[in-house]
Amino acid sequence: MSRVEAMARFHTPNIPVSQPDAVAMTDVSYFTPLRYATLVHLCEIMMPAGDDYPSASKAGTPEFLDFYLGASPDDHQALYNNGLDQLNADSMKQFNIPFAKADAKQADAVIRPHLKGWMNDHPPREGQVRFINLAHRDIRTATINSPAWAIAAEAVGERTPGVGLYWHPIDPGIQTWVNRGMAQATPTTKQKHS
Amino acid sequence: MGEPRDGSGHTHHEAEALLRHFASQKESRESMAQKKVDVLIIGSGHTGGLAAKILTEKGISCTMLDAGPMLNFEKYRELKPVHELPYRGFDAPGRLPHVFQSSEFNANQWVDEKVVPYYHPPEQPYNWVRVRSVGGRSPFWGRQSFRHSDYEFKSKDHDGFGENWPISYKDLEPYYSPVEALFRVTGHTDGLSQYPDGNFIEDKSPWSDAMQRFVDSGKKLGVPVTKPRSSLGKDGMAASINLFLPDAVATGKLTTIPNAIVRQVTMDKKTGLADGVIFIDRHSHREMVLKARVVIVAAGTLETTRLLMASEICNSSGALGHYLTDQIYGAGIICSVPEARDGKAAHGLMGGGALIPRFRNLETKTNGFLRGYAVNVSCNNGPFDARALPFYGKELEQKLQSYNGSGFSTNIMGETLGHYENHVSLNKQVVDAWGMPTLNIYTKYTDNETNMAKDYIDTMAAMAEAAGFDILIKNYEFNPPGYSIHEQGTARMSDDPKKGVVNKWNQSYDMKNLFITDASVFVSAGWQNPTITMCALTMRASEYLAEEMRKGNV
Repeated sequence: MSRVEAMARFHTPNIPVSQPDAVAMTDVSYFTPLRYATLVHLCEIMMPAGDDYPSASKAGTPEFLDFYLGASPDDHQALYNNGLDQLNADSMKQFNIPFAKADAKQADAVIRPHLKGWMNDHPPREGQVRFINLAHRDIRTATINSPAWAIAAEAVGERTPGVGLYWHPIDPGIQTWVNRGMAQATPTTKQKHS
Repeated sequence: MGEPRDGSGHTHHEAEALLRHFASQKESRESMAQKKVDVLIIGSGHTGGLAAKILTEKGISCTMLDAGPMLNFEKYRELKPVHELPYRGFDAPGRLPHVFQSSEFNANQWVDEKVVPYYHPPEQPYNWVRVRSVGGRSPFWGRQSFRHSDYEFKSKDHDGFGENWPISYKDLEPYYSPVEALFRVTGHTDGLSQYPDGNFIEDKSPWSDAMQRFVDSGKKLGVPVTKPRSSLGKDGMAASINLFLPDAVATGKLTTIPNAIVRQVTMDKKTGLADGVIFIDRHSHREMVLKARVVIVAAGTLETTRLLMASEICNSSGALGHYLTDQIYGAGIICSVPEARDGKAAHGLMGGGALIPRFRNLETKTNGFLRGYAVNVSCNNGPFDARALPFYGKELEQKLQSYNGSGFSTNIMGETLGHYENHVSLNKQVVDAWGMPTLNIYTKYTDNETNMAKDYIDTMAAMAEAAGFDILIKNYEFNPPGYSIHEQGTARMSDDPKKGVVNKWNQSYDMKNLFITDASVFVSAGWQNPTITMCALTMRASEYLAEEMRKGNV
């Protein structure tokens, strides 16, 4: 058998791998300290720990959102920056306390007026109402889809959550467009909400 | 001392041999280039695939090109938990801003607009949702399978807007039935003129009790609530690659070439007929020439239009690129069935779906809008959508537990109007990754769609209320044009060569050996998912083409 034929018959050894979240943390680098403190508190208020499941903070959601928003288009960044600022300003105005230090009742007073149900691709359009409801959706999603949540599910004997059919890149020919592509995308539409 | 050598270091005999070799290679190239394929099909989605099946089964050789790679489901797909994905299910920020259907699971299946860009004015958003791989969008469609009726084919006769199709339901009826057999369509026979019955695997399932209440409240308002009609396909798939192409392959008469990006349909200047294409290999950018006796363009409405525009053909009518239309999606209501909350749902209370076919502007006129809409209805005994509940924290968790299994929702599929002004044009200043000019898309909805959505929400809310459901959300807002992935109309058919790009046989007026089989030939959108009608038209056009080839007319 030639070396090439032998190589072709070689099967991948089974080496279990872990996700980085199991051993490492994300550095917080996008939000200002005040905004980040506001976000951390918002995460804790919106998604506290359940009997068997971790809170948003324990699931690393604030760090994840800091990373995610830092890489997001300008309009999504502005939504969060303005929304967190407004949350803090509302708390200061009503209680003279930063939102990050507001107790549950005070936090509720500045959050609840903005809660609104929505569906499909149509979150509310109005400024702070939009932020609160989209941030709520993002916090829930980032938490429920976190490695910590999956570990908790396993611990209580639940099925692995969020299993879906993942498509790998399909024979992409990446060189083609990386090297030759001069094309530019049209600007991000304001109507994309994730 | 050996033979004298030329400037390249070759002896006289070696040089002679090389010259003979090159001459023979040139002859070989010429004979290859001169080889004409019988029928060249551009695009391998539902209509390209069906044309290939029908023509090869009649003994006609076909060569099919697709701009994307061959799919390998074992290699490219796997079940994964979301927590193992890099972005926790959100996908890379800003990656597919116009594909609302994208998720981190399926993001790699869509065309990236950085690779094949397009432009729309900022105030006129357009979601162009594309797939480039063998089979086109057919492995990913929603599978709702409806016939058009003469309310669509003769729409101008009903309300005066636009044009009639050059065919009637009677012309297409014989083709719907075999197409439905291929797709294995399940449905219920309802006897409604606006919702023609078909060749169904009959759905005899009973309504759940909650659905029955909704059906009954519809009856009081004159709104028919029927069973959904959907393609079962085979082995979990209803795509060209498993329903059509294997039959074509079995004939031994189909050649399939992936990664072939057609940049131009070429014309024989002597005859004015199409004589082949120039295509570019997706990976290497090698440009190749392919000659053909007949060309079928089946690249999908807007890619077909872009190719014809880039080739500067098939536009003597001036209609090419105009009348772009589709359907509005995204508006809806979410309800909760009170008796199903807190785990108290009796057996048979919840579950199932329904389809409300168009019921407006049939025998009577509705104020505020032309045409009509259909509705997808879902009675869900699974988890409740958290977004619909304006609570957070533990209170939300309690509500989710309470509302679990009580969800009832509707979604619109509304016909939009194909105005001349809704059009695309070629942008030669911005090219795609293979140097092809891109599209500018100019389209917007009007009061017709807004008023239609309002009527829809108000009617659904009245029905839900009469059925005793609690209405939690009424969303009047619909998604931007393009979202439904039902774009159509930009190379419409007509009996008049001055008004349409193709005749009633999907045959170009300007090049009788060029056929278009995708939804660009549609004259009006209807509320129906277009696939079944696209395929019925393709079957009809392919049989016509085969006969014309046999007679020597094409």
